Amino acid sequence: MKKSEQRDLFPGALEMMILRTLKRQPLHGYALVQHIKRTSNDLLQIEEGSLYPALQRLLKEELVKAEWAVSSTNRRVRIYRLTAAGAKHLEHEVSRFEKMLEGITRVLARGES
Amino acid sequence: MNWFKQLFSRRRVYNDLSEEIQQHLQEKIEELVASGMPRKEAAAAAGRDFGNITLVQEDSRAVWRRPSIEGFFADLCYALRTLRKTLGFTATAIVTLALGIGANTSIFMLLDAIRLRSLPVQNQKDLAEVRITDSGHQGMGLNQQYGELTRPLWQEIRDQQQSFSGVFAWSVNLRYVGRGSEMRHFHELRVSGDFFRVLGVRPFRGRLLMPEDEGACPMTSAVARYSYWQGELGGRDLSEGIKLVVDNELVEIIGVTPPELYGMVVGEGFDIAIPYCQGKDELRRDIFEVSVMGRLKPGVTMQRASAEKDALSPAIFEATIPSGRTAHSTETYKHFRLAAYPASTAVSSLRKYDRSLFLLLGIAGLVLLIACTNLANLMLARGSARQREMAVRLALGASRYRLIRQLFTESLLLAATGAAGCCLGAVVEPSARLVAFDRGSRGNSPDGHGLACAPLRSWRSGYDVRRFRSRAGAARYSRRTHLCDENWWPGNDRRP
Repeated sequence: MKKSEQRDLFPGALEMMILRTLKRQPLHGYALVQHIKRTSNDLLQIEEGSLYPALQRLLKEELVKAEWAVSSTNRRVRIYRLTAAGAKHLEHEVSRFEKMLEGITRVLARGES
Repeated sequence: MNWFKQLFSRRRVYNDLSEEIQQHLQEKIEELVASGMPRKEAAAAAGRDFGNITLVQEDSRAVWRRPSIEGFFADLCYALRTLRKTLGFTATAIVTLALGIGANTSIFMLLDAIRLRSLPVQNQKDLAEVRITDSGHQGMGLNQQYGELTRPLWQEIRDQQQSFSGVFAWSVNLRYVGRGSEMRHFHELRVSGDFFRVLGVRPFRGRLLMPEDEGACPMTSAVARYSYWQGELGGRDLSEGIKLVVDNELVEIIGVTPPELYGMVVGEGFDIAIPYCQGKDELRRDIFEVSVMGRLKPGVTMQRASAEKDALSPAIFEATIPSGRTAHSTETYKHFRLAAYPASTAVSSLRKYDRSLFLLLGIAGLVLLIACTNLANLMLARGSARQREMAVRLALGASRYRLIRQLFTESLLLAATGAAGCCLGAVVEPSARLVAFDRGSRGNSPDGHGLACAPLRSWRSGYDVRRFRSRAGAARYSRRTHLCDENWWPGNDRRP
């Protein structure tokens, strides 16, 4: 059940959302996932854990960087920050996604008429 | 070297990850508790929302992993553990392999040095040696080692031949340098003036011998081999004028040969090259002391050169008949024939065991094959004993490919250890023999020793114990030495 929900997010979608969120402000993992959930009005139903492999992938490709800090609630957290390469990658991905979405929308619209 | 850095920062990455996930769960629980949920329920809810923690950790770590390399290391560690558990099997396998590989390597090295490796000079393929055909000069006059012709014969050949662009003669002797208690022997390479030019050897320092250096006795200039110059002569600058006393004559070192030139004889390097000289008396016609070699002119084949030597033979031998011989002996001498033979590899007294060596290599190969068959049988027996283990691994979800890879890794480890054992043997053996053979006796020993020594002589140098003893003090002991004593060579009758 969960698996099929996850499969609904296409590969790279989660990464894109993470990058977009981090572009607005640096966040730690928990805040990041809450923000995504809240902003999407819980429509996406992301499993919180799935965030971490995605974050590791981004770290490895050096699209984000992370450092330990102490949060306002006095908790040791790992804050993620967008790098220049990450910003560039996000731009590229978003434009690709928009093209894809436009294509799909057109095909769907044609089907209705 | 990004991945290299990653390889070592891996542990930190993993620790960070675990802590981060813990913090995430804590934060979630506290938030839920703050909104009024009992702590126990909050913990369960947080876990539910998070998903499978172990899986998340696994997936996150997998991002950093290089599956092929890490899989290999894991296999290697496992292989090490299993091999350690079956010590008997491991030891048998390693020793079998080490012996098989060792036997093959040493025979091949011997063969390589004697038969396959070319002289380190320009265009060795064009080099030819001039010798008397058939059984040679056996039973005629005095024979020196590696001596094929007399010096009068050499002079005749030099003056009459047409098919070589250059010819030279060489011979090896053991002579003495220094005076009184300082006296020590060295390996002399006697050469004709054209030796280095025809071989195409360039000097490492100074200049090499030239035809002009040949002349009346005593000779005053000589060329040192690189290792001798580095060792005994301490690598001194030639411009300082290095003068040595050789058999009570003063000789100056005018040049150094390049390091790769070891001499003309396999495993028996020279120390100093001195040109031939012409004394007051006529040259002896009954001492077969020189080897004559030449470089073929472009376009001239070995057959043509040989035919030419054959045609020249009657006149040459007629002109150099040794005096005071019986009519029969003189007649035999006159009927000798010269011929040219390829000489791209160095000379060796072991050359006559040529075919036996190939046979020996074949046998050693066969032994290795048998060793491998034995080992395969052992592995097979072990395989059936490990059926259970394999079944468990398959049941746990390992793929067949993974199991096969594991077995390959084990075999590889065994083979590598066997080879390493062989290397260890090669390192330990010389010092062991140094102890074993230094028991005073310096007479002729069986050919077997020479055979065993040759490969080592060709690639190692160690400490020559005899030299150490014969000298007044250890301080003067120089490191330039031969591992195997020259006297061990079969058919070698020279004495220091």
